Amino acid sequence: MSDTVFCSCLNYASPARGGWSIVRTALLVPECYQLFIGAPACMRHIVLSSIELGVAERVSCLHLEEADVVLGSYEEQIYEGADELLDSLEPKPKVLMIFMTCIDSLLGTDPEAFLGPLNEKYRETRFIVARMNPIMADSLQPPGTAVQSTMYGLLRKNLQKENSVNFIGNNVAISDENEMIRYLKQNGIAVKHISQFDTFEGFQTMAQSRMNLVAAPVALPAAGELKERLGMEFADCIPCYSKAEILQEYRRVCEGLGLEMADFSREAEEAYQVLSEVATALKGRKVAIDYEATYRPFSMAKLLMEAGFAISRIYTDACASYEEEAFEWLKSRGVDVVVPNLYVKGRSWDEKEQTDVICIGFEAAYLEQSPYVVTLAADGELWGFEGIRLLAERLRAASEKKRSLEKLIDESVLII
Amino acid sequence: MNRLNKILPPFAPDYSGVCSVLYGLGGMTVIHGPEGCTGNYTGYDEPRWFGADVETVGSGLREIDAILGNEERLISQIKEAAKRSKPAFICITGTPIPMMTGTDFKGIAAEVEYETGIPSFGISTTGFAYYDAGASAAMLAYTKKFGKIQTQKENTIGILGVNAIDFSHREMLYDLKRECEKRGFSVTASLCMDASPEQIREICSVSVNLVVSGSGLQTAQYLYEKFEIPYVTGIPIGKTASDLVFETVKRSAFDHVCRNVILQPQAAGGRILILGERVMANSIRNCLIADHGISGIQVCSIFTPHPEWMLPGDVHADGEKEIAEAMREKNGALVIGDPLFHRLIPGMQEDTFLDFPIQAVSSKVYRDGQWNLIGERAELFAQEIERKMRRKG
Repeated sequence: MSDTVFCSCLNYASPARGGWSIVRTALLVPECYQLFIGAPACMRHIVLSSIELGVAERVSCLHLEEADVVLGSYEEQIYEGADELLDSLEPKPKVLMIFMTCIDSLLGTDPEAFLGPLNEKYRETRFIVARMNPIMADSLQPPGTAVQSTMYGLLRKNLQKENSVNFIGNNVAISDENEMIRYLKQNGIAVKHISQFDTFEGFQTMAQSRMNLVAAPVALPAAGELKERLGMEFADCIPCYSKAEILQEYRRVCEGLGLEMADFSREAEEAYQVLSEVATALKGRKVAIDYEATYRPFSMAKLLMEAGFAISRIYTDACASYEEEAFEWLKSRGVDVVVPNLYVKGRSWDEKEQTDVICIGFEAAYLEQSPYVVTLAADGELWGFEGIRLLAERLRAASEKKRSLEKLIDESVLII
Repeated sequence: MNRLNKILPPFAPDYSGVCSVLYGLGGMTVIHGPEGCTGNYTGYDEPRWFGADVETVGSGLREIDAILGNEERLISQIKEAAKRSKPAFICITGTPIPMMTGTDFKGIAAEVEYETGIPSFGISTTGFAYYDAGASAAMLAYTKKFGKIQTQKENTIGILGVNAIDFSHREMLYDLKRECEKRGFSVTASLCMDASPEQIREICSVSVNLVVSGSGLQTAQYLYEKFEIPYVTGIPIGKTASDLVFETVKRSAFDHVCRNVILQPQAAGGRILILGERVMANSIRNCLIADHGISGIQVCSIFTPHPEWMLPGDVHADGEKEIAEAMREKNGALVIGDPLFHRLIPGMQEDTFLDFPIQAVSSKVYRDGQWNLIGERAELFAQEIERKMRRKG
């Protein structure tokens, strides 16, 4: 079953559009350096966002000129640029990611022309070609997916196994308070996430784990590759928002690790209890959700609506195949689905016309003109029943405090 | 020489200049390219984007359409959107991929105009040139398309070359207009920022134009050639230097001769190096010479070069390496430039650098530190320069 796309229209990008960029995601690999290759325009937002994030000392770019692109004489320049860069860096990075941008799709770059000599000269650095090419957004390897394959493609086979599991695909680690994580730890199984490593060597220990728990759809291909290459099993643990699905994911994890399935009914009950309390406290205040906040906006909406929240609107331009049931359920109850990338005349941001809709995600907040925001991106640290409890708490907190959306957006460094 | 940037971001691209100029004129501007291209403009080059009711949109170009040269998808997307929003005009502007595939923007615009009945124009930006080139092309295209032939009105002035990238400080344009009014000129239109389409249509009726950035030059030349409207290049910065700008404006309005206001420093460059947009940097120099008697000032332009506005000894730097080189050559001078330039010379003393944030370089990173230098507001800036020079010795 393929995803349903609601609109193939010209894209309006609200000021709240964007999320974790490819740059930021790939920089989770410790001791890596990124060199971007492309037209100057392609790299402006990359370098500026790296300055805003305080990671500019790990990012550089090499501009090509029109003549280089037309004549195709740029591989030599990539070698020279990378050579000059590495010559100036001390200590040398463990990995140099050479990011090709959209123009590479039409140029057919020969990476061997520069990788060979670079590998020869800088033996302590690994060189890999990576992609930041939104022109491939509709392909089987869109940039968000390809970058996961690039990152985890750096793991080397290690026969010395550890009693641990990895979460992959999520940008931030799942909360330690999560019931499954606690259960794993009780059973002597350590839980790893790329963000906890400061060194490339430490990151390599992820290859010793028994299993990968995939917390985002974009990492499913990378997990498949790790299974093929390193023999690591994986389980789909993409944050979901129903008791049955959560228990199904937990069962998969337990089966994969040979653990007996624990009884999580107390945690489930507590989470739903908090959710219900918050729904009651909000007394019918509207809630809107956007697709940048979660991979499952329809499932999240259904969960909240069943708990008594007044879901007013969902902002997304597509419905993933695994969400169709929730989508139909919401549609039959009159929930509005709005495509956020359609320009709507007359829309602006007027302080006097702000609403009190509680918005999960920045874009929903902007389009609803609301200062009540749950600042969530790609499900954040939410997973399982603890994730539901956290979501409820964050909804409560967001409902109580007006925030400056413009400031929040600036601080969050959202990148398209 | 390869063009490696270790510190600086690439500067604002040409298509951002196009979008900036056309912002707020009631049209639809389509950035034909993959999503990230639009993100440059909306996220970093357009300080007014939060709360904007402006139809600047991306085409979301995909590989298959680029390879097959499928322009029909773009045209039907535009037609569909135009049906909904009924824009006053449609502009289609390019990015690197359409440049590579040789997209015919003028042809697409002609087809769009024919099919929708909405005035349309294409600008073949590439993403390889600077914002000022795009701003210049857009301003000229808009003026040609919508400028109305009229009788010239006395004591009226047009300001050419304002856009939110060069004039990102919120009050700068307001003060610039006030300076014009103070000197007896009624501002007909400021192209293209804070002006209505109706005002811009009147641009062919002004008695003189004031060009305040490189992006205004092409339109000024067009208006001079077509309607004999003279122009003066320069920004009124500082009191005496502003007097000089407006004296020149009056002379040009009278004798119809175009002029540049560029004062010659009394000594060769060596004490101060100003890095930035050529007209702005020249005007700062004018102020330092005329209002403060400072000599030995060199200007180094960093965007599209304009040799006609360079004095002997002035330079142009293209990209990070040449900017760093220009700074190194002036070792010991006070450098005025974007704060990011300071990082190019490790160990450079605080007192040898004065922050002058430039939107086209560092975007919003140092926005709070942007200066408004119009008229006497430049006094604080000049004082800061004098203070730094004293401490430097």
